[in-house]
Amino acid sequence: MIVRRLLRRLLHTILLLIVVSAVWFALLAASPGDYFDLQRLDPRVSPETIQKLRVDYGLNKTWPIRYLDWLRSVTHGDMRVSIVYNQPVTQLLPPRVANTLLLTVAGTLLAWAFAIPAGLWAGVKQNTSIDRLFTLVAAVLIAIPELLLGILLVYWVATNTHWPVGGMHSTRTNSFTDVLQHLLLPAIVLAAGLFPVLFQHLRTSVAEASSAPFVRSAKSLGIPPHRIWLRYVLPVAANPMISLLGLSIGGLWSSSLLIEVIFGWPGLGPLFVEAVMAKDTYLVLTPVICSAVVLAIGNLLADLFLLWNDPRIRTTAA
Amino acid sequence: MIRPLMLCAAVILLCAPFFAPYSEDEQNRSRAQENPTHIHIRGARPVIIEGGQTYPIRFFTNGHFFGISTPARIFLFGSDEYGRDVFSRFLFGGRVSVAGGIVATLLALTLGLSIGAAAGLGFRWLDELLMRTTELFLSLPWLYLLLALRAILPLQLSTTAAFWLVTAVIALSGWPRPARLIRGMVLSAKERPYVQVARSLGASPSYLFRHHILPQLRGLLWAQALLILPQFVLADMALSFLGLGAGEPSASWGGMLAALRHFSVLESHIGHWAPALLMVCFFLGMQLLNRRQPSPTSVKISGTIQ
Amino acid sequence: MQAAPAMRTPIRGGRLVIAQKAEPKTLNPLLSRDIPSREVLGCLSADLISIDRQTQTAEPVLAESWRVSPDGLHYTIKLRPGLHFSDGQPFDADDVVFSFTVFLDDKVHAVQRDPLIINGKLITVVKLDARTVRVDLPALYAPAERIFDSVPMLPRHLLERPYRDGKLSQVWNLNTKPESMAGMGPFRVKEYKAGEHILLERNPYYWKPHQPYLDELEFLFVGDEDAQIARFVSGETDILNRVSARNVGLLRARGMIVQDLGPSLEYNVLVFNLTPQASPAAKEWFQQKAFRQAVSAAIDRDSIVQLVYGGLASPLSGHVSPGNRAWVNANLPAAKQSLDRAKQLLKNSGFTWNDQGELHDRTGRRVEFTIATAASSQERSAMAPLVQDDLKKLGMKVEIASLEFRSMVDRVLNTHQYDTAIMGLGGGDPDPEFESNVWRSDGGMHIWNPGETSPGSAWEAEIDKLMTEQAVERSYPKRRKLYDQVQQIIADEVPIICLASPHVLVAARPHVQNFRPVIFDHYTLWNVDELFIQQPKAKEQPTAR
Repeated sequence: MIVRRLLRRLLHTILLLIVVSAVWFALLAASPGDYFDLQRLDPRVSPETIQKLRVDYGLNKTWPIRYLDWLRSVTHGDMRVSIVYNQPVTQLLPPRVANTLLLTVAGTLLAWAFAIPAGLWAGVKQNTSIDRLFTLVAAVLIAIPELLLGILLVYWVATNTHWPVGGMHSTRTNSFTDVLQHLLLPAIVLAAGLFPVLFQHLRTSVAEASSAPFVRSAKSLGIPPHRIWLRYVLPVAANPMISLLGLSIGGLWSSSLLIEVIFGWPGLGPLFVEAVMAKDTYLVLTPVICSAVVLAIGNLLADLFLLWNDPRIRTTAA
Repeated sequence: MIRPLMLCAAVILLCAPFFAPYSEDEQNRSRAQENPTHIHIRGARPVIIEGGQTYPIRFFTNGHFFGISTPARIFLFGSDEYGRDVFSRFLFGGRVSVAGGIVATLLALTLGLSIGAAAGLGFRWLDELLMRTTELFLSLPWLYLLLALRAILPLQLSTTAAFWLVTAVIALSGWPRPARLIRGMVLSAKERPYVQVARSLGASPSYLFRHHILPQLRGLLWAQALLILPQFVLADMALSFLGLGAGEPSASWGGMLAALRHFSVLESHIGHWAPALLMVCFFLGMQLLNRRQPSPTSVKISGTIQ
Repeated sequence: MQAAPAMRTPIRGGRLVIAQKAEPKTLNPLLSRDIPSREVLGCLSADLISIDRQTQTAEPVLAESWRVSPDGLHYTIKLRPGLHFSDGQPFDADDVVFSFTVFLDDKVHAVQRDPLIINGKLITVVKLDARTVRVDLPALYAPAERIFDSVPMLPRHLLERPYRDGKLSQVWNLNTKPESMAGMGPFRVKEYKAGEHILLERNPYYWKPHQPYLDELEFLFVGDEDAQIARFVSGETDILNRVSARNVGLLRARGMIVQDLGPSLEYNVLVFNLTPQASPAAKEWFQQKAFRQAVSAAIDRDSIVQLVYGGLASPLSGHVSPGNRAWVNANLPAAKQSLDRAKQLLKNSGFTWNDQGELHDRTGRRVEFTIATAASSQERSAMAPLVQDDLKKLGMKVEIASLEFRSMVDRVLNTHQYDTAIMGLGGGDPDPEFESNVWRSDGGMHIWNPGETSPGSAWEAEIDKLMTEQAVERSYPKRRKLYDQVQQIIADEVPIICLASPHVLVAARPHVQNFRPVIFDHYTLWNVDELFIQQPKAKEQPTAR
């Protein structure tokens, strides 16, 4: 049963990848202009040369033909070459992906590290001043757009402190502590964006679960509090959190896009934005496909975990 | 307390032409980057002193809530690089952004609710199909969708067209998350004893949905709404950040926020910070509205047989 | 212009850090299309002859000397003795011939190829002996010496094999090992970190003795100007190349010295769509010279200079910027805003105003059109509302369409689906031939009507004739007179309205010595081999401007 489910998921995922890549291909092709238009503004280069370059890179063919051509290469494992960098896409991405993961994992961990204790505490002690304080903080963080927070932080830190702002390394150094210093600010901004939603959901589910009748009966039966928490409250509270976790994993690479641009973090973000603007199609598609795969895996894991955790759903799923 | 305040704010924004002393594109080229006008009190009336002359601030003049006779100008938040009143632009921009946010949220939630409910209540294959569709939409980052769409469209994108474009993209990218959450809750709610009892008593799926499941979703829906509402401003801000925001000369909150990334704007005068501060307060107010809603707990108890 | 500070004794050593907006995309000179790549490659390679950025005359670089035949068609170039590439291999005439062969090859499609075509034919390069080559021009060409500038010499020992295999576009990318690349420039590649920086080190075989003084040169990929300013202010970078006018105030407030070098070679223009693909209404209005002149007369260029550039720009009456002292026609009448003159011109052409002050043409159509701008250019996007407001005073309804950069270029040059556009042109080389493709009707960048097969009007035919004459006129005064006439015609017919030319604004930390920025590309690094680092003594602080 599980195997059949997995197989069906696999099929759906492949279908999803094909549709997503086709949509992106079409969108990129639909916008006017292409990479070589940059050269049109150089008065010394003739349009004939530019047209020849287009033919060299295959840009004179229509997008369905180019798409099928790309699809064929992909099935052979060849993710093609970037027009802008003249390098295989698979060579360009790994260092950037690593940098992005460093940032998003750090930001996500930071957010969860604050959200879990805060959510639990607030959920248990509903409507006390602690709860109100946390909720206010979360509300303020949602109210401030992430980009704005990033912008203001960059400005304030750059003009008032000597803390490094922007990039991943300082010049002349190569130490890990230096990377951590550069990582701190963007990770904080990322976490500030993730924290409120996590906190609110956790708080709500904990509050819900802890005032449920079965918990009260468990209490009245004299079961010690920590066992109530572990065996009764947390599993129920975990339900929506698991969906969120699934979405979190899927969002690991895309949530940091604009933050990386603001902080000059050398991750996928700036590369991707430039590639989209330059219509470097193969370079755009590979991360898109990867993120779709990651998203699908994340959702699959979340659904599986949901099944395992909440027996009530299992019965209908059979 | 919060509710009347927010209502006031919404009214002021929606009636921007009345409350703003100037139109959003009125340029005063000799008065660019001016500091906010100092208001003095003379004889219990607010006045402005300019060039040695005193100009009283008049209320309900010329179809505006307040204004001042020329050649004086009242710039509550100072002026921008073309000499336009930042306060007026703030109000007009708010009108667009808040209206856009409301429309986008309604669209997104309607979509999310219908799809999430259909997935939760319906057949297995429908569930699978709809969940795969959410994955599809989740893998299309709205920003790039917007970028690509903005580039294809015809040259003259009027403000209304641009408005609907951003709204549509937010709705299209905003529905998957609530849909998934709603589906999760519907799935577990479906198996609750009281629902199963009602079903055995002959209740139709729509009745079950309306009477037993929907009330539980109310908290979730409201929370999601308050999350999606600011997305319009954020999308606009990201677009402006990449240089594709609402066309000049129309003002928008997103554009005003994106302009803050320039050091030159941040340092010019304090008036540029005021819109950002007020926007944050507005969004904060929206979040605080959330707390006034009944918590899911109380609703659930009423739906329990136990 | 500030006088150069007294020459100090240069000190060897140190690392200079300069920010770039984005990372370079390639280290292969044939594929170098974007500005960051050109910046880096400029430090890695050298030409035979280049134009000195301060004197604007040709000077020998890898060439020791050259002779020109009396008819001007043959350049016999003698190379310096004992030259080596950055990997130690010798450089001789074979490398020169190889380089030109590659650039001229029709199948390689190098960016350097087109400037080597004169009157439709390629130049030829012949080896005479190990240290001498002869370059033959197919036709007389006035700025012939400028051809050699920006034609870098390539190492035959490294690139001949890929060239024969047809794989030249795959070599020398960013991830290539530094040992596999070589050039004749002052620096060679040491390290590249994706998305972060590219580090260059001194080329020990550089042809100038004792130079470059710097040990290392680092290009940091920082991002847009605000990010660059943050890094400069915090001390991480040493040079700010081209600051925008709006940031000068805050830099000076922090004690940074910003130099204003005067107007650059760039000129911002409003282009009219004079192609057959323009909308019928636009076609009818724009084809009338009086209409174009009226629009030009209505625009307040001083406002643009003040509000967009904070006064750090020059209003333009013609397309040649006042910074181009060798070629600007100083006799053109200053373009001052005159709404009365504009209205008169419109009235004489049959345009009328209704009661609300809206402008209508002869057939009763309301005059309205769009101005397209590239969203990525903050300055040009800032000009558009000013122009819009100016034209509103004439009763014209103008909408502003902010487009993504490539979309705009595509519309203006390829599909011609636009009304007017604000663009920035120029900035490369002061010589008129550099932009001949803009003024010639058959030129690829004939911006108001690209793709014409023959001149569409008498004045365009006149410009063609003048451009052809000045291309072969070897006497500079005569050439200048011819080009003055071209400027006169453009200023009169206004197919493009010239708005303003921004000043070149640069900044450097006080410890950067021999810093002699110019208004020509590369503004701050053109003499990178002469730059060195030394903390100035307290009483020797350079004077602030």
